[in-house]
Amino acid sequence: MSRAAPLMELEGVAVDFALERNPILRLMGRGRTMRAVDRVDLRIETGAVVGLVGESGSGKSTTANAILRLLRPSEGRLRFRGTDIAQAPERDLVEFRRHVQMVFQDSHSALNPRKTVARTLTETLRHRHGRLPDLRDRAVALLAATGLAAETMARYPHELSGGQRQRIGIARALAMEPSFIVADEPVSSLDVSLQAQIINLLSGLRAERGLTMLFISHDLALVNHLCDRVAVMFAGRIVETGTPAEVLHGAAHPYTRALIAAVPRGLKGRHRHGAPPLPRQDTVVGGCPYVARCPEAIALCRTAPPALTALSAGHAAACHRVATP
Amino acid sequence: MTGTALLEVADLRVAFPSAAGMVEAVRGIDLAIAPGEAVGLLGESGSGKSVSSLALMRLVAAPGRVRASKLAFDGHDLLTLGDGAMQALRGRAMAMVFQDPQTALNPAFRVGSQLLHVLRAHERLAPAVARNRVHEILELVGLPDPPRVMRAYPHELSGGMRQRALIGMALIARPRLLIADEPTTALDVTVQAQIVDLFRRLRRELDLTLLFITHNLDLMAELCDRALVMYAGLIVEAGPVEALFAAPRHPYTRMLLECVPRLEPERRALTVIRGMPPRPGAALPGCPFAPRCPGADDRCRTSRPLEQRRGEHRVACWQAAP
Repeated sequence: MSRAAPLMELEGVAVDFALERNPILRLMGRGRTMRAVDRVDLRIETGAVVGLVGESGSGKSTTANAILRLLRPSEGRLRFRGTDIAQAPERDLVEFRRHVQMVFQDSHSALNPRKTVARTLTETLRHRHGRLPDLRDRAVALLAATGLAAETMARYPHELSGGQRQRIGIARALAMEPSFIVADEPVSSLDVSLQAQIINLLSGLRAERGLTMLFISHDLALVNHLCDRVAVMFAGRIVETGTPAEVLHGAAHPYTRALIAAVPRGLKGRHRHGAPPLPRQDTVVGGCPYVARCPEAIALCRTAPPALTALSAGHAAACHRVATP
Repeated sequence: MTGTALLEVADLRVAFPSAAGMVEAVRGIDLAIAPGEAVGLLGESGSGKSVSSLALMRLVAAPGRVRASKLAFDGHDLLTLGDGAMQALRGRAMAMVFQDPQTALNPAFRVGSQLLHVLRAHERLAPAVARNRVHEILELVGLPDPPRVMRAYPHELSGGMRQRALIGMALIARPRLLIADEPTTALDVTVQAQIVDLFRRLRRELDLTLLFITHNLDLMAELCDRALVMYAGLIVEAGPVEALFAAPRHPYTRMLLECVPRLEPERRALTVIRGMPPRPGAALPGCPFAPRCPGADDRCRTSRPLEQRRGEHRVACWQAAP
């Protein structure tokens, strides 16, 4: 792993959501809050594809929204090409937004149903490049790059299949010529045969255009297939990070191991039984957030939160059992 | 399997009206399920798997049209059975669990009252007895503290708990056949593993017969004895799960197995099935998979492949070795 300046670097990023019902306290920014993302550190190197995995509610999408500055982190630094944008006002983010694009999970609601594909793409291109005479040709080229025929230009989103719509979502993101794409569960609503098409498209685009990508998914096998690095989130914290080989085949955190054990494995899984029981009370004040579900917890886990500890150059886990075996 | 089957279906066809006339979503499928068996119905969206399962329960409403040469369940001919008698079978003899546990429960009523409502629709029971039955079923599906779950509104339960409550609701009148339509697709992978474990236990403890509808091949292989692969309203391959996975004979099944990324240390290029499934109502004189099949020839494009049998393993492909 090169120690060159990363494209994006998160340092101690936290996001709190207000739960307070009293409007006055809320306006003053006081009262009860819920910490959705808890002091996350993450380096996204230029040209890398980083996978962020975890269950629903683990804070993956909130982390993505903070990275995109769709919300303002409560704490921490968010460096894009070395500049901290965590608290930057909206007018200073124009340049940043040009470089960063998002691909959404639900391609149906991500596209305007009243605009043809041609309008969706040419409007984005005009926004990026101004009024060029060849906007239409550029839009057709984007369709070709995402594996769609030129006839698609005249179509409305409802006339397209889910896989085609997701390709339009990717084409629209590429229209901005971004250096960084955040893809939040981009294939989880697609059929398996279309998933493979989109995954191959993303890895092809990444190779051709040198894109950097944050790939959010609950599917460990997809992450294993596509990503250079993986970060596993639980209860708003990153509990393990490393290469797919380190994290998925040499998992150090018990939560990562539980996630891996839950992946269906076809005929090999026929005779296994007894999925681990998972108590849902995950809120433990002061200790490790995973302690209620952890089969390996020791006394220390109930009292002190474990910090992310390096196991090797790029592999780290936040578990007391790793630090003190 | 004739004679011993709990559910037997022959040439099931389901059609819906469209601008171009009636369009068949299910184009003639055969299916037999023995008591105690777990059968997986595998297919992608639009393949007709959900519509088939609704037709089995006679839940396809007009203007949809269901036709079959045979539709029999446990000695009843479902094609001629009156509406009242059919309603009596639903829930008590055959029941269904749906994909989205959020929309399948009424958000305005407590979980307990919804379960009691279902139970009362089937049996006249004293209130205390009925409550006990609901407690028992909630415990059976692995929900600790049944009184608390009964008092809860659906939004107060997690997705996994809601799905357990729904499975309990489906089982409360003790049906013999449970049809589960993508019951874990909306759940996290850890919760999915628990629900699959629950289905395994229910099969063992209640001798439940299961029709498990899914698009996830690996999940189906863990749970089911036999599998049916559906494509464009037809069953293209069927057989014991071991045979189907170890030696798939239809190119669609084979490519479906290869296009799924797995947790293996070595990355391989994912096989891509080019193109898309045919639109409903598209003219398909030959094999429905021929336009996407790398091995298709003229015969595949012009005439519907006949079914070949090798023991229990059936395949509809001209190119499959006999």
